[in-house]
Amino acid sequence: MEPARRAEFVPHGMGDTFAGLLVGPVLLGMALVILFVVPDARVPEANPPMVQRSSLSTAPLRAALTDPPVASLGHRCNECHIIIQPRDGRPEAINYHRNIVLRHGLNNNCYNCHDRENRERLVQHSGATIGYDEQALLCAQCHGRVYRDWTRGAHGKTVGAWNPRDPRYRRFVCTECHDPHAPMLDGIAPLPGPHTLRMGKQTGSAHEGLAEKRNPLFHWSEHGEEAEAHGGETEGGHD
Amino acid sequence: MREYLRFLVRCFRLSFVGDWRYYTWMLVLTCIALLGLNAYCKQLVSGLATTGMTDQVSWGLYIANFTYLVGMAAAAVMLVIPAYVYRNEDLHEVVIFGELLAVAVIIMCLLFVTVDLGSPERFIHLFLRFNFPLSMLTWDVIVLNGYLLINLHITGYLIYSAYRKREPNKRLFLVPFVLVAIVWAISIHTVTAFLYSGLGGRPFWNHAIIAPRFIASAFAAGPAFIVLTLQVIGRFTTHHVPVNALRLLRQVIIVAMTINVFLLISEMFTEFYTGADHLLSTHYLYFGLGEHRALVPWIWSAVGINTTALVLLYLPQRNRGLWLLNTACVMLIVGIWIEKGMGLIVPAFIPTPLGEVVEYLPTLNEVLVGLGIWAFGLLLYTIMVRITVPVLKGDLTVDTLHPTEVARMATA
Amino acid sequence: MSLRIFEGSGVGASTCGRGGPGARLGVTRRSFLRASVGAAGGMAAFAAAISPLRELTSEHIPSLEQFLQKHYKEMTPDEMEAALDRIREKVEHRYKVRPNIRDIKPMDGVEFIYALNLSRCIGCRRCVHACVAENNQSRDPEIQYIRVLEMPRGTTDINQGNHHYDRATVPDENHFYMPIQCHQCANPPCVKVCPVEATWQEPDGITVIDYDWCIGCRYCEAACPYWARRFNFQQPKLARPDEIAADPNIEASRLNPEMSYLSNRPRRQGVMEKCHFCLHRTRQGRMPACLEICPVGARKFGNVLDPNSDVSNILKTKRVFVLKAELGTLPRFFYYFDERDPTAQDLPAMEHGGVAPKAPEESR
Repeated sequence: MEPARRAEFVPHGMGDTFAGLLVGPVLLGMALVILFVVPDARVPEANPPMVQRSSLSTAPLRAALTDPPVASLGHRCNECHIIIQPRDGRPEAINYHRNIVLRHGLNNNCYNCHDRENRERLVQHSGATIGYDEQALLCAQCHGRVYRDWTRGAHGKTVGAWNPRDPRYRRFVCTECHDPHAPMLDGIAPLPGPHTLRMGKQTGSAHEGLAEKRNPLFHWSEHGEEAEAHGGETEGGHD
Repeated sequence: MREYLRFLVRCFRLSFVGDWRYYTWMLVLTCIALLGLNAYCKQLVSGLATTGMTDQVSWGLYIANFTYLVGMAAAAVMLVIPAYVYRNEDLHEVVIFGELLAVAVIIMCLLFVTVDLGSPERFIHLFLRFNFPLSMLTWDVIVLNGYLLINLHITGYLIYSAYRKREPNKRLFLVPFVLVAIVWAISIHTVTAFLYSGLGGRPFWNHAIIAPRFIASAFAAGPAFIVLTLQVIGRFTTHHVPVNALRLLRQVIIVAMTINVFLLISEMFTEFYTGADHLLSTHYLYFGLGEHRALVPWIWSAVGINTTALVLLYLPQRNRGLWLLNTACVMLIVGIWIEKGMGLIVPAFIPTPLGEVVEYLPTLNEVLVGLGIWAFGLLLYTIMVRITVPVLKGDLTVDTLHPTEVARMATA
Repeated sequence: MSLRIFEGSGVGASTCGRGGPGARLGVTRRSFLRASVGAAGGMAAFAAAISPLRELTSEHIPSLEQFLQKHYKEMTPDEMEAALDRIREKVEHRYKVRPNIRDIKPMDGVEFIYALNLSRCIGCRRCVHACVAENNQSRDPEIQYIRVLEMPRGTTDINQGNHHYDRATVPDENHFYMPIQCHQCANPPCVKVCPVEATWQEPDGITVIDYDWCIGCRYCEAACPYWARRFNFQQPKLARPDEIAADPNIEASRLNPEMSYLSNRPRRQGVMEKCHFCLHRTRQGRMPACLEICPVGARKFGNVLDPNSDVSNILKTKRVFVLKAELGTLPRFFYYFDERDPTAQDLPAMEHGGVAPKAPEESR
């Protein structure tokens, strides 16, 4: 070997000529490799679940009664109640109103809210009657804090416009969300969770291992997070 | 001017001529670079979804390599400082190869940033509304391109002076630029570190030690790469590479790596002893989070490799040749690449700021693009060395022919 | 003299030269063959490498006008109208729907903030999907601006939240729910880091993105402490491929044609997007889509500069908090809990042992 010459990459032998001759064919081969061997770079299809717009209704959960209230089939309340006058307002006395489930905690007497004399009016603790369009005042008697929050916009749903002076600004009244006889809202099915690109299968919180250390309530339940998750699934219609 | 163009043409032609080893090496690199180009074209069409990156882990292999290579480019200064500031004769003979490496590596850096862009065709917007000085990325654009220009000037000036057989005007055209380059080299890596450490939302990055750690690890991995490169140059060309230059670089690596390990220990202590929220990413990196532990084997390999390399470097190596140093260098290059790439970029995204754990694994296409850029960078560097050696030696000057040119004329 | 000969011969010359072997006496057949085969191989390999570019469409390559389009803040009204026309054409071409797109400017004396009642949120994810429908986000791959976290009681550490809860019904009594979206920070880290000023804060407090200016570096995504920004890793699609195959018009039916330049106009591959408080709605006085859908009224929105607005009242009367306050981002997104209602019943005991803890929120 002749370091001085070879060291400079000076071609001088058959091997070098041969190598030079091979450049073209090798590159041609490379073209074929690129075209036919290298796998495609397509992204695996994620197929995230789709949600139809029809499941995204912005309408109030319930229709609130107006004043005067109209009961089923367009009848006024007093049409029947002139004749039918239950002695007490116990919930067991409900015969006609089978669709009513009374689940309102301590408030379990019809006449707590409904006026004994005029069923198209509501009655306050003071004995004064109010129309159905003023029912928030009735709720306010017990749920003062919620009522206060509602008047300030901290509770309840305000839609249409964000400016209180805008004519489209509209705040739902109590009974547009809550059933006055069973005001606690029922649970609903959640829409599908995230399904982002290459997310993989996801379970639980970020660091189950560390949750033990971090969550002050973890030790309160024997099996920690998992137990809670299973407990949550069996439960339904509480309160 | 005409002479300069002729010089460029001759250089271009020279880069196509060599012996079989040169052809083989260049051919392999070209093939890999073409594969990378092909992969990038696919990415242009199908989007960055062809990479393993997600909204959860929004930076991956590209930015990791970018960070590592910025350090590599900055490390050229470790040849320049002894050569120009301390007037070390041994290093003075090889300093130009460090600067050439900086040029090639900065080009690789810019390529890695470009392939990471979602809309590279709108790159022009950088010139129209440049969010300077607020965005650290604009600082990075300035310092990287500035460093590229400075080093292009230094190396180009030296090589062209040798070609024209002129004594370089050191006081006017060289030394001021070299001094600027020294400061600038530190700045490129500091700015790159600030890119990460300035983000309050990423506790894993958001500490002051990031910048010093970047510099320390760069000044270990960079010189390690240069040690190997210089030996290759010494072996395959006639350029004289003094062994003492390598020995000096070994000292640099030892000091830098020791500081790096010290900083790492400081960081680990603070994180794990405090047990604050920083811990989640670090915990993921070293021990995994639940069943998510993709980086754990990597980082522990890096820890093992780096520690072993440091021990090897500290061993007395009087009569053992250079293999011990070379082994250590290879280990450091690999170890620091893992530590800085996978260990520093990826875990900052895991878990996300909202606590979701999505792991990152580069795709084949992404790896091919990365390999392609590496191959292209090495290709550039080989060509630059290929030209520089005969020019500096006086084989290729304005009025002499290089042996290959003589050989071709003889066949003609 | 010798250099002249060199110039006219050698590999380089025959690589680019068109002449045959006989054209130049100085070139040997062998070296010519070698060089031309090498060049041919190189060109073939290069052509093969860039062959995927054949699939580039007009969605990828901007037209000249698009390419020269100025930054949002620099456009004159005429230029904006031209840009809007281009968008109209593009949307109509792709989705077969003529969009009603405008550039809606912020209102004077308005600064929007959001408030969210964590005692009320039930985690039904209606807001997530209403947002997607309103803002024309990509359905595949999926891009959503809102994440709802299911949080165990006893902590507000979001790292403990579960993003992927799947229950027959929500809410679960042992958890509360925390939706997170862009907080429209007053000191936004994402704006600071953008190298091309493609994202900025508007006078009404909304941080917006000029989708035509973004270069897709994703630095803002790394900077956001609330993980509010999303990147279009692929060409966005409003329906899944199988659905498009079954019904080619499905994308048109999914497109919301009411759009504005800075908000919900369709995005392209390779740009960032994020929640913009539905500015095409809110700048015209309406409520954001996520608020309108909320079945429990947990979401509150309004003008904080108006002392009588809902949100001002909430800030005054409720104990509110922001996420990651220590980062100094000054979010415009506030969370609050209701005080425990004295008439509410106690929570049932947890399933396994232990006494039921007093929850921070009121029982539902």
